[in-house]
Amino acid sequence: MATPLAWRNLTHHLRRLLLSLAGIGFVVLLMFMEMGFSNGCFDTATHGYTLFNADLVIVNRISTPASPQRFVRERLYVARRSPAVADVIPMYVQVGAQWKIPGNAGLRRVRVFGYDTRQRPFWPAEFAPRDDLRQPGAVLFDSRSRALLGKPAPGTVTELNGRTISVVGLAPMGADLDTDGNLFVDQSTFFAIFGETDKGRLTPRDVDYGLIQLRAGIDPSQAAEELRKLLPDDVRVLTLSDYCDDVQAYWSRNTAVGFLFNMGVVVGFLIGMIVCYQILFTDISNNLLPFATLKAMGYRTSRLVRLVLEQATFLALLGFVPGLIGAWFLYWVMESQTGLTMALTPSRMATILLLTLAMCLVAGLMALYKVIRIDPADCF
Amino acid sequence: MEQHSNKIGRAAAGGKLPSVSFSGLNHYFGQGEARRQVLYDVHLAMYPGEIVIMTGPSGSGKTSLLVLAGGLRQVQEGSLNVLGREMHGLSARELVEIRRSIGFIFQFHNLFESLTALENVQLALDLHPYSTREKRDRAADILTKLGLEDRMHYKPSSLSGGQKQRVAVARALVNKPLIILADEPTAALDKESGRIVVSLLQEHARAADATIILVTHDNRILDVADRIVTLIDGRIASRVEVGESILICEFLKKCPVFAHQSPSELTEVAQKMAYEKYPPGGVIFHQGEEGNKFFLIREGQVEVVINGHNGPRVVARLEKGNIFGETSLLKHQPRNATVRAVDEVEVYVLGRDDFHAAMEKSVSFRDQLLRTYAGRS
Repeated sequence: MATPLAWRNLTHHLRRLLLSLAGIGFVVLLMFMEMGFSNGCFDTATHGYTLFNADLVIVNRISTPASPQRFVRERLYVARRSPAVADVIPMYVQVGAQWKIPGNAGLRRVRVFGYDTRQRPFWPAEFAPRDDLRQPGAVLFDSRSRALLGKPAPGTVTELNGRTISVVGLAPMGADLDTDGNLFVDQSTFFAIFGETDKGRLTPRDVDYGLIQLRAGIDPSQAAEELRKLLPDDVRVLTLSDYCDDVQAYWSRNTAVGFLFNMGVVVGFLIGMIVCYQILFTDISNNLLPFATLKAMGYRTSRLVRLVLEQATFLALLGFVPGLIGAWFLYWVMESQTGLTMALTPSRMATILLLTLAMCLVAGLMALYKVIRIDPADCF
Repeated sequence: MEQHSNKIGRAAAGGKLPSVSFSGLNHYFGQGEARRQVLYDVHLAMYPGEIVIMTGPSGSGKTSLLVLAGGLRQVQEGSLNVLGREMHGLSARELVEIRRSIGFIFQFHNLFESLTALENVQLALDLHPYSTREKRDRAADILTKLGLEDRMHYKPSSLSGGQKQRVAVARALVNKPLIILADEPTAALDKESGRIVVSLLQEHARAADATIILVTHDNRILDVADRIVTLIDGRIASRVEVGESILICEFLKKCPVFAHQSPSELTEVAQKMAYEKYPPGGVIFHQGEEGNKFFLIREGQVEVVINGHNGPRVVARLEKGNIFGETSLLKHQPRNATVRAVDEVEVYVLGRDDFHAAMEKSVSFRDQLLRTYAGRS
């Protein structure tokens, strides 16, 4: 085993090391937060859809999350004829409905999902079919709505778009950037409230989503391919996860949110790079003569290059840990305060870890010129 | 008659090939207009087991010589042979390879503060395919030999200056190099520590038959040298075979003409003396010739023969330690006798100009002369 020079040089000045790690850890935390906000926004944007009890989703081809378009219900009849399909649930959605806050004169925007309540378009247990929801004006209230919608309980009576409604139960979904909460109603109630529009009458013929459940053992992407062949191209057939990705991609393309937070990550990356460069540079500068002596003794420059990069890697790994712990804590705080989804998934941890490594290695490469330029003859 | 200007070097080598030899070496600094020659036509050979001290004013090129011998710079002109390999034309990569068989010791210890003494020494072993255990044992061994067994696990900050330099010496010696290049290794040390470091080097030179080249201004350590080479303005100004030089000085000291000269003046004279050898019966000079040399007998006997009216007559026999030939030089007269070798004779020879220069410089000698004149009047 070779003498662990990189590690020793790093840990020699404990106080300096701790300061360094605090610096890098802070940058890691910053990147986690920026990425967390960004992901939080996008995760939140699709959070409702991930609850869909469906393998495939059919939507209008020109529909976008910002301007939803409906499609004709006949497309679903066609889909239902496919042998791979077990069930098809038409889903109607109204965004920006006016919810009157119980015990308060204020109005807030909510999103309303309408469907045949004998079916089960969302998988959480609270969405199990229930008869009381079939009464006119009966709603399920999103228990994870923002607090500013009030705290309705089963039995609470209030208004939606000026019509009297009564809360019969609670079911969890969660707010997003656009709406403060969600309501779930039977399609009869849905059309009773939203049927009259400025542009004419809205009917059950105009569907927002077709949720398709496949028979057991059927591969979703293959089934989607089959359905695409059966259906005219005014609709798109996507697997649920593709649809969610699609929506996230749409928001990140069409809003400044993704860009801003990515900029935040880039700025964090640059700061971290400078911090790391400073640490490595200082260490090399403090050891110029010993390094020159190593070169005189017959160490190749490549070996010293490896030494510096090793040290950069140690810095990245050691700095990542406090950053991760900090991020984990702050994510928890943020989530409980804002209701935004702040998920610390393994793939996101891996992304930040890779960014941290890249940050330190680039800094290492920048510091390398100093090592490369060391001339052993200068020892004399 | 045989003449050697570098006789002792060969003698010390016992017929061995030099481990470092420069021949016709020129070296330059800078490029284009700023190009400046720092070494001129250097011829110098150093042999296994020999300790050579390089000295001279700063900027005289001694460091350049060390840098070249250490493979830290490429040879530009002339030839440099290190451990049997011609360095001229080697790539930087090949030079790195050669450096691994050379031990370097610098003015400063250049140890990593983050590593213990043992680990600092192990860095030198990391270049070779030893096992972890072997590395530790070898490093511990050499540190023990250098009297640092209690300090192995100390970091440089808890070692004294002398101990740090000893660790640096251990790092240079641990691979048992055949050449050691040391640049002012005692400059930062007190007398005692400096002496310890130098003795260690001396022991290594003897034990491993290694060549040690020491650049130093430290007069306290000159005595370890087998040879002292002085560089001035990029040229070798003198090479003193130290043992021989001391011998010459001791002889000269006994001669009345040189009796009042200081050791440094004698050394200077000794440095300028050349070596000559005559077979039995060989004539060193004839009576009546113009005197152009001064002689000191190193070995053997000569007879002084005056060719008078009654034919040749031996007036004196001279032997080891005696001088002859000075009268003609002092009085600016032709030789008043013939000198002939009886058996095989080795002599040291000083040219006329050098002889006069020595006399001129010698204040004490002029005092003596003046006193003589004063006594006459």
